[in-house]
Amino acid sequence: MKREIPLLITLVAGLVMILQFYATPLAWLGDLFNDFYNIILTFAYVLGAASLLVVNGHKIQRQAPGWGFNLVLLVSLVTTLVLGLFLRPAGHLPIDEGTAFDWLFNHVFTPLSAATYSLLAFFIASASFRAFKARSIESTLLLGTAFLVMLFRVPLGEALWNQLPFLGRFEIGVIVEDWIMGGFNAAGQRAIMLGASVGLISVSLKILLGIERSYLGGSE
Amino acid sequence: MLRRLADLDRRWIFLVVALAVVAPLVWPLRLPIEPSAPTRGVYAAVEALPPGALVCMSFDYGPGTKVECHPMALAALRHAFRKEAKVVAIALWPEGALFAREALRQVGAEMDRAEGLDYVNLGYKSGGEVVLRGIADDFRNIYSTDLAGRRVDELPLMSRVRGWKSFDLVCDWSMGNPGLLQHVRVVATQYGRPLVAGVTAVTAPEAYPFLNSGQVQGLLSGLRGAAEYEVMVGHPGTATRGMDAQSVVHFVIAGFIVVANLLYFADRRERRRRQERNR
Amino acid sequence: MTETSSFSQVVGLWVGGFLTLCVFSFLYKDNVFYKLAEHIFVGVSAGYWMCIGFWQVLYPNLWGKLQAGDWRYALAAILGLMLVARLVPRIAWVGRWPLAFMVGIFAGFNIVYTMQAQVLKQVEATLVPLWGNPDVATTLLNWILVLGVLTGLMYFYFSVEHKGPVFGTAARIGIQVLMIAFGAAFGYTVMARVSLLIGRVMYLQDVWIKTLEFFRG
Repeated sequence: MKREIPLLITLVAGLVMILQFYATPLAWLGDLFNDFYNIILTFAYVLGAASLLVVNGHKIQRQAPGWGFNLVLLVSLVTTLVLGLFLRPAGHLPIDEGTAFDWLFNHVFTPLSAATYSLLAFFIASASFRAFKARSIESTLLLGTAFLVMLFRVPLGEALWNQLPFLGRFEIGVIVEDWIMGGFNAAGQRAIMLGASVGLISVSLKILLGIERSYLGGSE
Repeated sequence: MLRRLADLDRRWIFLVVALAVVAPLVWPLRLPIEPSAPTRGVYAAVEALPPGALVCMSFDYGPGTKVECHPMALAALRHAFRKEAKVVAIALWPEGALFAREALRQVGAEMDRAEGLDYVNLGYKSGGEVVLRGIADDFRNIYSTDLAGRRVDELPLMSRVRGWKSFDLVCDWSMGNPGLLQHVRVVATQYGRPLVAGVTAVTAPEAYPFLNSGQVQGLLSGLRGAAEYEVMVGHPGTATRGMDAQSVVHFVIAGFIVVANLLYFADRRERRRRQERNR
Repeated sequence: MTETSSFSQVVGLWVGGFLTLCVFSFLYKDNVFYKLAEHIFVGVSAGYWMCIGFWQVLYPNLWGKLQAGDWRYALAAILGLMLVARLVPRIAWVGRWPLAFMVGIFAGFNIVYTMQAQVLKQVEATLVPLWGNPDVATTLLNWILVLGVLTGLMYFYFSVEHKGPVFGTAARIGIQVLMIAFGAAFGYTVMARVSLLIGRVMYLQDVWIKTLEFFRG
């Protein structure tokens, strides 16, 4: 029963969401399930935070190597939770503009998140130098297209192209945008999308019918 | 020497990239930016709005991609408010709700627009596509309050808003999933609402099939798209400022690739020569 | 751009600037400052998502509904708590019920929305005229689109060997089209990553500018 009931829940939930497109009397049930989904997914954030507390708490308790950093993590988590849940100025929510939580978002979370993502620029430059070689026709085609897009989708490339004696008469922006992006890229991406979509529909059907059960995990 | 170059410590590459970014920001080149057809599509869609039109803007991006998507949102807000349109903001990402607040406050103050009358920020709900589907014929299915906790029915603008069909245009500023795909699936395809989008450059190539099929009327791609739109709206901002640095770094990276390939071909020729000598 | 109108804003900009440089220090080598920034980031993100989730979803959509007397939402609360029970190994299995519910909804949506928006609409958009168009450019683009999609799909069909004058040629053309698409995607990916770095450098530039403006009054 530990696996059969969840499989039944999956089937019923999925069927309701499909049928409510076709049977308007079921729309209220579809709306209710929508709201439930919203709420349950948010509990997953609680699960995430609680899981971090448990895992890092254990590391601090055992004084595992680098436990000081785990302590920093926990302190950051708890501070954010306190500021965001409990420190409520009169007439405002804790997440309103001008609150301590808002300060944390603007001056700690946002810079850290943005800086972490921005490291990728350096690594993509390094990876391009090390790995991007024209070893075959296909890789040359890939490299050539990447070159065209990188060089001529920026103002400097366009300005330089326009100075070229014969080629400068042709608008490079139109070539890149209409022919490469809107032509070959659109065709390739559409082929991938069609293939992936058919696969996704097939997997979704298998999930509803209980054939695909990996999301249940475990052997119990 | 070729071997030394091929085994170059990547920190030198990092340094060159850093200098390539900093230099144009300190000494700008001020190169002209020509809008592309997909950007003109976004501009035309907003320009066609009649006074008092209702626009829904979905702020589906986070701090990591704020540099690309936030200028798009700011430019679109300026454009929409200039057309006397009313804006309802939602977010499918938690950070998007606060960025929506920042953008609406900034542009609202610039153009003397009042919250509750000219714009409303309904904030974030989790679930992506499920939220968009849940809105369906009535936003109140999902949103009972706005971001600040005020009841939706207390906001004068919301008296005009029912479901997706209330909107003349839907704009999505998106960095991934949930984002553009979900809006295409629900808002554009199921409810037939005109949809324009601004996406990060990473997701832009995947959006072209939707642009081609007409499910999306216009598309801003990355920082370049944001800069093009800023120029069209007549309010150059951070995106325009960043394009000089973008140009220089692209040429630097292209240079790295050229050098790497020259080294590769030289090395391959050398290895072939050695093989022939050994035979 | 962040407005520096108060001392807390200036302090905030310097905190943000310091944390940004801590992250960038990783480019030289892994170090204490980077690890510190990394752990602060993880802690603050988890806390942030939970706080926003609470005030934006649980408070209005759950607590608000329960307060209004809609007791059906007690079931949503129970399912949510069952999800959190995954933390306790002995009763982790109860977390399957809410998970199954969410997976079912998602699977149901995917069947309808994917078919409608990503299959039917996309196939319709590929049915374009191959002659009789107003200009040569449109005709050429339509040929690229139709042939590109067909040959790309044929490349992904692995149940038949990619051999022979028809299938083999089509699959070879298909992979070339896909390589062009991937090249475009790579070019745009480089653009995206570089933009993120530009954003951070502009932020650091603004930290200095705004601080100077503040002290100049």
